[in-house]
Amino acid sequence: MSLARYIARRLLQAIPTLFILIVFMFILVRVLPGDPARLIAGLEATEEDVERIRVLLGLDRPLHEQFIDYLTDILRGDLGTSLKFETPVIEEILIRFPRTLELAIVAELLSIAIALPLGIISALKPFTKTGALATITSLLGSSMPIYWLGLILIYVFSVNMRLLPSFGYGTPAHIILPAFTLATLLMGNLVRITRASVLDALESNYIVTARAKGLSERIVIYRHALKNALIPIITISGLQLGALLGGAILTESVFAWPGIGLLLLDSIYSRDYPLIQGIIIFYAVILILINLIVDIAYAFIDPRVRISLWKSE
Amino acid sequence: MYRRVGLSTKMVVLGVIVLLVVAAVGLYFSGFLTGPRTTKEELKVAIGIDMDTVDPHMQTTTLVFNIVRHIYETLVWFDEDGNVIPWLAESWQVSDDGLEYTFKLRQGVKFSDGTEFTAEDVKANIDRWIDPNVKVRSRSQLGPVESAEVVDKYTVKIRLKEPYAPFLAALASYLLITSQENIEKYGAESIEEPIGTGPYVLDDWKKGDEIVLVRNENYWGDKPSIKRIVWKIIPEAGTREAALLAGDVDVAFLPPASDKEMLENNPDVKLYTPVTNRILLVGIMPKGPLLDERVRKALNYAVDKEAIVENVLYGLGVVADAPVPPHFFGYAPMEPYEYNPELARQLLAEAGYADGLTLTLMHPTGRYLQDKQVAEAIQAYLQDVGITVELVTMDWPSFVGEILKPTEETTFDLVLVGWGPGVADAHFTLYAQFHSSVAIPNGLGIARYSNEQVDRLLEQAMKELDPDKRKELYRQAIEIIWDDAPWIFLYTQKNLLAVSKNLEGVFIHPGGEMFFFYNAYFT
Repeated sequence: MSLARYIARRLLQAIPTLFILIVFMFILVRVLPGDPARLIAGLEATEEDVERIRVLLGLDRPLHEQFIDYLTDILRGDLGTSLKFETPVIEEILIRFPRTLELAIVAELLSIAIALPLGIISALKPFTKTGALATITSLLGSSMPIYWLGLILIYVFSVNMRLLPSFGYGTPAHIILPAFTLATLLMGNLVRITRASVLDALESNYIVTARAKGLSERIVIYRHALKNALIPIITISGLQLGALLGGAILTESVFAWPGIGLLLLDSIYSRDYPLIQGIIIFYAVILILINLIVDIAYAFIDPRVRISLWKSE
Repeated sequence: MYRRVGLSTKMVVLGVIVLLVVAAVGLYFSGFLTGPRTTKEELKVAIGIDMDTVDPHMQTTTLVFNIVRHIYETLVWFDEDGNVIPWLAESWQVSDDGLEYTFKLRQGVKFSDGTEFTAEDVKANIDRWIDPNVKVRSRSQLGPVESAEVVDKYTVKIRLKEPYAPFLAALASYLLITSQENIEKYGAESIEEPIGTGPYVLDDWKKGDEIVLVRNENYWGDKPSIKRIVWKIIPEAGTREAALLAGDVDVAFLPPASDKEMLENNPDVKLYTPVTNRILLVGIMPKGPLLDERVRKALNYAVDKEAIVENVLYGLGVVADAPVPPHFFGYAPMEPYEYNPELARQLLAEAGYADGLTLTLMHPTGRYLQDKQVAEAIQAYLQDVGITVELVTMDWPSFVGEILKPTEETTFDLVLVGWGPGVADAHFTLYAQFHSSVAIPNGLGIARYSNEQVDRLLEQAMKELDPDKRKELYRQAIEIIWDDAPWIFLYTQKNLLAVSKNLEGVFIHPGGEMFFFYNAYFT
C-alpha cells in the first residue's frame, strides 16, 4: 500500500521535471541556427523544393501550434516522426539503445576490474614504486584523448596484429577495443576514489579493533577494509554508467559503434528536431526510472531506508 | 554491529545487480558466437553515413543515391565520359519543339517482386514525382515535367512545360524507377520496401550499422560476380582507412586526405581520385569595398590556387579556369587569374585601399576537403597583400543558416563554399549561381550576382536544344562572369576512394562521387 503510494508520488514528481525539460528542449533546438528542410534538401536544392518540404513537414506552422501538437502526441505516448528518416522516433531509439547499453555495461565492468586492484595497491603501498606506478598508470589512462587512443588501438590490434575487428558491432570480439578505450577513460576517477576510500577505511576504528583482536593483516584488509571501501566506488561507477547510457559519442564514432550517441550526433547535425527531443526525453525517463528503482531496491533490503522514504510524510 | 548489518545488506543489493549485469553480458555474448564469414563473393564497403530513406523519389544525398542505384535503375544512364546511354529505355526521340520525349522501353525486364516493367510503371513514377502531396525532395531538378502518357505497353511519352536541354541527364541523375504496384501501396507515404529492376536487392538494413545488398538472380542484364555488397557505416575517416588496411573492408570512401601519400605507397591499396562536380569558391558579397571590381580582381590575384591545391589539398583538386568544372557540358576555359600579389596590391591601391582593409571570411568545418585549412591559407594570402581577414568557423547546419540570410543581415564579406550539382551540365551551376532570380534570399546564388546580359544568355541556353549553340551561349556567359569576378575562383574538388589491390571493375560515375560495383570482381 505505502509502496504503491510512494511510487505514485515519485512518478507524479517526475511529471513537472519532464514538462520543463520538454519545453526547454523544444525551444533550444529551434534556437540553434539551421533549417531542417534546407538540410534535408541539400544546399543545391531550389528554394521552391525546400519550401514544399517545409510545408509537408509542418515546419511552416506557428511555433505554439507545433508545440501543442507535440505535447498532445507525447501524452499519447508518441514521440513523433524523424524529419530525416521519416520513421517513428521511438523506433530509431529502440534500435540504437540496446547497443549503447551493452557497450556501457561492458566498459564499466572492465574499468572496475582494472581500477580496483590499481586503487587498492596504491592505497596499501602509498610510498613505494608499485604504488606510484599504479597512480601514474591511471592518470595516464584518463588523460589520453579517446580519439587518439582508439585509433592507436585499432592500428596495433587490427591493422598490425590482425587480432581484433577494426570497427563495428556484432561479435564479442567487436566490443573489446571500444570497451577498453572507454574503460581507460573511466578508470582514472575510480582508481582515485578506491585509493581514497581504502585509505579512509584503514584509519577507521573498526580496523584498529580488528587488528587489536589479532586478526591477520590479510583478513583485516580484504574482509574489513575493502568491503566498506566498496560503497563509494559502487556509487561512482553507477553514476558513470548512467552517463554512459547517454552514449559515448567519441568512442562510438571512432569505432563505428552504432549506438544512441551517434544517433544523437547525427540528429543534431541534421537539425532533426523530433529526434533530438525524443532522445533527450528518453534519456531523462530512463534516468528517472533508474533512480526510482534503485531507491526502492534499497528500501526493500534496508528497513531504515524504507522508513525514511515513505513514513516521513 | 548495527552498522555492519546495514552495509552487508547493501552488499546484497550490489551483488544482485552485478549478477544481473553478468548474466546480461553472458546472454549478449552467447548470441553472437558465430560471426559472418567473408568470402570473395562478398564486397565490404566502408562509408561515412547511413541511408536516410530507400524511397526512390526522396533521395537527396549522393552517397545514398549511390547505394540505392544498385537496387533501382533509371531510364537512361551515363558512360564513363558522361555521355547519356540507354538503360531501361532502349531508345528515345525528342520532338522538334523539345517538349515531348518518347521512350522505347527494354522488354523482358522484371522487378524484384516479379512484376514486369512496362510503360505503366514509368507513368506511375512520373506521376508520383510531380504529385505536390509527395515529399519528392529534388522535384524541380528533374525539370519542368508536365505529364507522362502510355503510348503502348513498351512506349511512354513524357511532356515538358517548356524546353529543358539537360532533361536526359537529369533523368539519369534523379528518376529511379520502382514498380507501379509499390507506388500504389505506399502512395504519398515514404516507400519502405525497395522494389526495383536493378542488379541487387536489399537484404538487410541494420540502422547505423550496415546495409546488405544481395544479387538479384533474375536481373535482366549481365549477372554481377559479387554476390553480396555490405555497406558498413563508419563515421570516422581514420577508422575507414584502418578498416581497409586491416582487411576488414575492401573499399573505403574518403579516407583522410592527409594520408593520401601513405596509401599511394601501400602495395595492397589502389586509389581513385576522380574529379567531382563540386567547384570550391569564395563568394564575394556585393557590399562596401567589394562593390569595386578592382578589389574583387585583386582578391583573385592574391590567392595562389596552385599552391593550395598542391599543399593543402594534397593534389586533390583542379585549379578552376571557369566557374564550372572542366568535365561539364558548357565548360569554356578562361585566362586564369595567375598568382600575382604585386598586381593585387596595385589594384587595391587604385581602388583607394593602399592602406589595406579588413574583411570577414566565413567557412564551414568538416564539410569539404580540408575546408578549415583552405580558409586559413586564403587568410594568409590576403594578409600578404594588406587585407586583414577575420575567420568565422561554423558547423555545417549553422553555416547554411547564416549563408542564406539577406545581404543586409550578413555578418561576413567572403564565404568559402562548394557547389556540386547532381548533373554535370553548366546549367546547374551557372543558372543556380548567377541568374539574378536566384540571388539569396530568393535562391542559392551565393554572390547575389545580377547581370541582365548573363540572365538572358542563361535563359536562352536552358531552352536551346542545339548542343553547339548551347555551348556558345554558356561560353559568352562565362566570359562575363569571369571578368566580373563575383567569386574568388578556387578549384574543382577531387574525390578519394581507396580500394584493395585485387578489386577490379569499379564503375566511377562521371560526377566523381559515386562508385558502382555491379561489374566489379576480385582477382
